[in-house]
Amino acid sequence: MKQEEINDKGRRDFLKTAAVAAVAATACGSLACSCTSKKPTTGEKIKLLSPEGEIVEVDSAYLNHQEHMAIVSKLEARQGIAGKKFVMVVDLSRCKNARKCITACQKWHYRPEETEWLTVKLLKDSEKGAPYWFPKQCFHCDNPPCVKVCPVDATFKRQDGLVLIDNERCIGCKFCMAACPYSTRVFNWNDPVIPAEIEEQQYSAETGIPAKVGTVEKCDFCPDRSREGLLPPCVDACPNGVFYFGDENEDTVTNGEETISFTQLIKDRSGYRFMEELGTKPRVYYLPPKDRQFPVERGYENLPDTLKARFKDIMEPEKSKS
Amino acid sequence: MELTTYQQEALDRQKPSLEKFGKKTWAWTIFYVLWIVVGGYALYLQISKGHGVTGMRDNVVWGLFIVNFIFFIGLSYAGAIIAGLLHLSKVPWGKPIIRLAQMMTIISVIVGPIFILLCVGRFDRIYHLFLYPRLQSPMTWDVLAIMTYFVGSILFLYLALLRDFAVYRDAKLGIPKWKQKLYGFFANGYRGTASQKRHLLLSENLMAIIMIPLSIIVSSILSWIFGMTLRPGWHSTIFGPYFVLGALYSGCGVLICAMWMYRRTHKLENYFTEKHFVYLGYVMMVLAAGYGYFTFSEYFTSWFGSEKWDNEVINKLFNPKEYGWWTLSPTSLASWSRLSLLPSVNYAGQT
Ligand code: SF4
Ligand code: SF4
Repeated sequence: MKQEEINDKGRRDFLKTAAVAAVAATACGSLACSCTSKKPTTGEKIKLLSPEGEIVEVDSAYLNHQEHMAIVSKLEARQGIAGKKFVMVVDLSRCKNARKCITACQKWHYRPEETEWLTVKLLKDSEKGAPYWFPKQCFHCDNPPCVKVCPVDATFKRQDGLVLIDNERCIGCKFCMAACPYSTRVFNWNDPVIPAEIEEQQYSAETGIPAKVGTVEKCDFCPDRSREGLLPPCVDACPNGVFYFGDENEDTVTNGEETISFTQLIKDRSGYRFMEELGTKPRVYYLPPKDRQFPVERGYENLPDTLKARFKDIMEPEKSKS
Repeated sequence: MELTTYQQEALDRQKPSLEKFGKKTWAWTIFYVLWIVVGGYALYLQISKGHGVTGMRDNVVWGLFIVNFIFFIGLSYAGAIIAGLLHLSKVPWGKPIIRLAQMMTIISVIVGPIFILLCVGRFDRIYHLFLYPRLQSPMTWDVLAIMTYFVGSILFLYLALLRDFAVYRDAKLGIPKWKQKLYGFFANGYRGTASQKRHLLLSENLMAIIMIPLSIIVSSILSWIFGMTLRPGWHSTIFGPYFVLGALYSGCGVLICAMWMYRRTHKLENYFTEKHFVYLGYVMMVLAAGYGYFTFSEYFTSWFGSEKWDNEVINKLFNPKEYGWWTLSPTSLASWSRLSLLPSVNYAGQT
């Protein structure tokens, strides 16, 4: 009990300072080793919670601001944010394949252009059916086949509903890639190219940064941003408010502009989950593409040829046959 | 130890190769070591630069290593099943095949897992399998299964070799003392007394009885790595027996090839006679029929039911452009005819 109190206090102190600063020195793997570098000290000591869950004191001179903050311990990253149950709702009637979500995601996670954790597919359910744009990322399934097969517990399900990957434990067997029926997982085939300052950052399963060669990664619903009260970058970046993100426990979702009741939205707009019949129980819901705001061609016309090739068989069936 | 005429004869044949490491053997050894060095360099590249150097990608088939793994592991299981069955059935012509099948078992159970080590993205973290094992994962089942199987097949072969070690220990061979001692160590005090003979036979029988179901179990576990996923075309209840039969089928084929090679290079015409080829040919024919039957049921049911995703797989495979599939399936089904039918026709008059 006592220990918990101390920890709790330490964490509160820490979170206060974390809002302005995070530890840059953690690059060497531990906070303590930062003190060996030659930098004038200020004498002002600040308490920090190390990734191992210990409270350490660091001179404020060794703190500097960083965008991505590995603010939680390994254990917390596995447990999740208490009391939350994240959900996402994707409104298919508003998507015009603007691809802003994709670039925002790549920018936030420092992923190259070819790595799409979030991607936009073009679906056509039946021969006569109308094609529609379909953003697809990890569904953070409640019965996740990927987690079931991992031999080393590197990919795990948290109490807040998120499915994350510990890239420091993953052995790169790719079994989870085969098991995920939605093919959302991507593998780091080559040494990832990351900016130097990010490369030095302390790894956390919540940020997935820095990426590690030979391991698997995917959309993580950006829990580090949730902890700061921010929405995932894809939600923020979408010009049409396609993505609603929120908490099932609070029964609210928001796309940045409007905040609505999750159950009401699903009820009113007949929300559904992709391939429900697989029994994976996704945490991402789709609103059917009814009363669409844009004709489907709007998402195709201005694409570069490399991207056009992906959708050619549906958009220009005559041409793609020849 | 009293040698039987059969043993004496075999010893006389082996004597030169036991005593001298011939020039030819040296040449082959160096050749293979060089290959291993080349492979080691490739592995170094792969580890230092990432798996990208293999050319595999998320959207390019990345199962090549896994296919090899399954092939070799399958051979291994087949070897154990064939050796076990021949041992238990006590058919007189089975003896030479048993040893070969046991060797095949060991060699391929060593070669197979190497491919998995090449396949995992983080070779350096492979110990995580034991540090953070998750028993719920079919992969962990497979690790346990293969390790059990490895120990089992070593024991199975060792029991069979015990007599040979004793023969070498007692033979007057022109070999260094330490080698003779090593044979003595492995012979483990076997002198061929009546009680020893009885006990050895008993343990061999026991091992054979254990190895057959063990092979079937581990082969099924291997298949479940695929069967347990939700992928259309993989998520199938038939996969366990399908893999067992497939393993036996390819194992039998490799056994015939190995017999042919040993027969030529070691002049073993008296041991691997035409009869052996014919008999194994018959076995292969039966296995091919079974394999064809499974393949047919697998695709026929999913084609007839034509569920959306199953249909997608069927349409992809049975597409005229899929030359890989079209060469694989018919040739693998027809390969028995080359290996089994032709020799049996040729040799029919001579057996
Ligand atoms: S969508 Fe795929 S990767 Fe994401 S939780 Fe479900 S099975 Fe796992
Ligand atoms: S690739 Fe990594 S996360 Fe996926 S199953 Fe293997 S060890 Fe687990």
